[in-house]
Amino acid sequence: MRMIITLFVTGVFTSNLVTYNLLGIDSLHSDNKTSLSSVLKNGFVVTVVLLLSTTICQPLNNLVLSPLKLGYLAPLTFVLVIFGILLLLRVLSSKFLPKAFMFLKENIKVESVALIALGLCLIAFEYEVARGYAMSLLYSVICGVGYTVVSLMFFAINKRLAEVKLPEAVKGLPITLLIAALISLAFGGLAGL
Amino acid sequence: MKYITYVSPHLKSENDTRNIMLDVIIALAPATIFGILVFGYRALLTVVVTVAAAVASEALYCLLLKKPLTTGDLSAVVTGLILALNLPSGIPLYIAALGSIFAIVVAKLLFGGLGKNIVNPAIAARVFLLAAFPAAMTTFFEPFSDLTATATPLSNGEYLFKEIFFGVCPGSIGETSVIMLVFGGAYLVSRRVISLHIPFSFILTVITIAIIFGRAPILEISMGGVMLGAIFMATDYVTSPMTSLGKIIFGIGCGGITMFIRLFASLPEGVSYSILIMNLLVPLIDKLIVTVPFGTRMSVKGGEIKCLVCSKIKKLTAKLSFARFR
Amino acid sequence: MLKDKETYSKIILCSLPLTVVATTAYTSILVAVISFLAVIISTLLVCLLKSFLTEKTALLAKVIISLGVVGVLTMTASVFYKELTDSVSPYLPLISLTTVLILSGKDTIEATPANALKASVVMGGVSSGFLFVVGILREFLGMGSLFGIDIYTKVFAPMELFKNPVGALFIAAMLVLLYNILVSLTGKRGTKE
Repeated sequence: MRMIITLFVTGVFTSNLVTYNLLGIDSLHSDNKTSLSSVLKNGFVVTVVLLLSTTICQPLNNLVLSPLKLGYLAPLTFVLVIFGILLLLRVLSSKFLPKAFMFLKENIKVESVALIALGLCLIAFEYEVARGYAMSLLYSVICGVGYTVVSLMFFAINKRLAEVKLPEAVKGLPITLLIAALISLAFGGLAGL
Repeated sequence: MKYITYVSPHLKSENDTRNIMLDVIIALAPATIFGILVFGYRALLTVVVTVAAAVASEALYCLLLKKPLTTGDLSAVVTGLILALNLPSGIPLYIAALGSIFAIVVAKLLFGGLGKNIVNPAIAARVFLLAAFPAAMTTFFEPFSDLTATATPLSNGEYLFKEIFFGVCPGSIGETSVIMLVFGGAYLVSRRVISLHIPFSFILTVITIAIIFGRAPILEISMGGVMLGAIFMATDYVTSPMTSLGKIIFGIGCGGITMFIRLFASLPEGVSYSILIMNLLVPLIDKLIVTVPFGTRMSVKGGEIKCLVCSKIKKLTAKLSFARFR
Repeated sequence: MLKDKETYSKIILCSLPLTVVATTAYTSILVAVISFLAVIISTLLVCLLKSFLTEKTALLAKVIISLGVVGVLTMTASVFYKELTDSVSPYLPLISLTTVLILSGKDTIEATPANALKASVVMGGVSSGFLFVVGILREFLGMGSLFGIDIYTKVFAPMELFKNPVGALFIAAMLVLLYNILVSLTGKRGTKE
């Protein structure tokens, strides 16, 4: 139980994909998120992609690539798997869930999600954050939750900053990076469990 | 018709802001003077340098951007003072000045100036300094001595309860004396500058969790800046929620995260991080609570998990915010 | 010079994950050089193979090409600078998605090979220059040294913050802010969108 709490705090706060590994910030920077539910849906899609990619990439890495010393092929295989998953999600949702398909088409940028998933696979497997298959799956879901939390914070803060007259030089990219830096600073305090 | 709520302060005239800031300075005076008496002239030097750096950086910013000088509303003085009270008395002066500059320029002015910052500048600066100079920020000094470094009672509990409560123990300049801070808080409440929701919920949560986990609650409050944080830093009206329910949630969250950090993480000091995290969540809290207009009913859409969660949250907050008005 | 104004922000955001490893001047030089070469070589390859790429396979092909190039460059670098590369190598494939972003932009698809190369040099330069400067500043502020030589550690304490990704975000925010200020002072266009 304590290990799960530790894993949770690590995934959401200290090793958060956005604030510690700086992965998903380009998808948080564009302000096409107009409502709370679209932010949550975006986070949900990212979580699902992360979960599926870990399901396939983890055994691939441990059972195929490492024993055969094909470590240098890891990024390539992971990317192929991730793109396959994204394609699969699109095809499945176009057949069974048309509303979800519309959402995916408009809001999810393939490169951003692929970057996040690739980053998670490379970093989590390299640094062995979670031992074992089940723990890795749990960790990927937790990372997705962490991404959603930061995404929600960004959404709310951007809504508030939209009513404010910012200095000219700070608008756009610098303020996003500053907000991300403050969130990163805040989450760093939960280290050391 | 769409009504847009602007962020506070809603009434903006220099006189109002200046009066509020004067009240805060008066409320902080007992704690400051006590800290200087206990920790010596070095504490006075730290306070002076921090406040001066804060005012100077705001003045320089206004000068460079050819804007009217805003230092007259004393908000830079207040930020500098609160930051100074968070620092150990013997901290190298360039670190204190750097903290001030970060607080004013990065956490306040770059986000739009007074009333538009999303985090409390003093808290942001304190966390920044904690992360940037961990060694210097965690060496505290013996009271009434000339800079003999020790650890705080949080990590090294050799002090009598009386000493901790009245503040004759190591710590940062302002956070040691509970009595002086309570005096200041009472003054602020009597002048209607702060409301009691946040301090009460913060401190009650800390006490409750301390009792649950078997640590002495009075000790928990007196150490580590809980009183200073709860009364002066968490209650900053710009960075706390607008509604009363939001304030209570804010206080509970702060207390919860503080105790979580103290119990499970390796840091003895959790108040600054918890207030910073809750500050960043404040726009979200405002959004979740204020979005439910009075008299509407939320219906749960069948099937989709995501909408279920959304509407459950909305239903819950609708029930709670209606309950407020019974 | 570039037709797509949003690209600068996107390039910087996509190069951010790499700043996690660019903690010292040496590592940041390595990362910067590899990313610059990756961009240029990938652009060359894509231009040569343009006739083979259809609409649907374009993204996947670009990803594979850029990953291949990055992999080859990593292996070359690890021959010469083994320990340096090993500390950086899990994060290097993340350059490939920056490269893909650059390859998908209007400047490389619709242009002649010479123009595409020029545009890719500019964009690759932005990315690698950003990484390089962030690395140097992080080492200077975070450890008081440059290229291993102590500069001011005896006078002031260096700020430990900048060794973490938090510092990278702050420095990135300040750099883009500085760029915006310089641009507004001289009157040309900046990175706002």
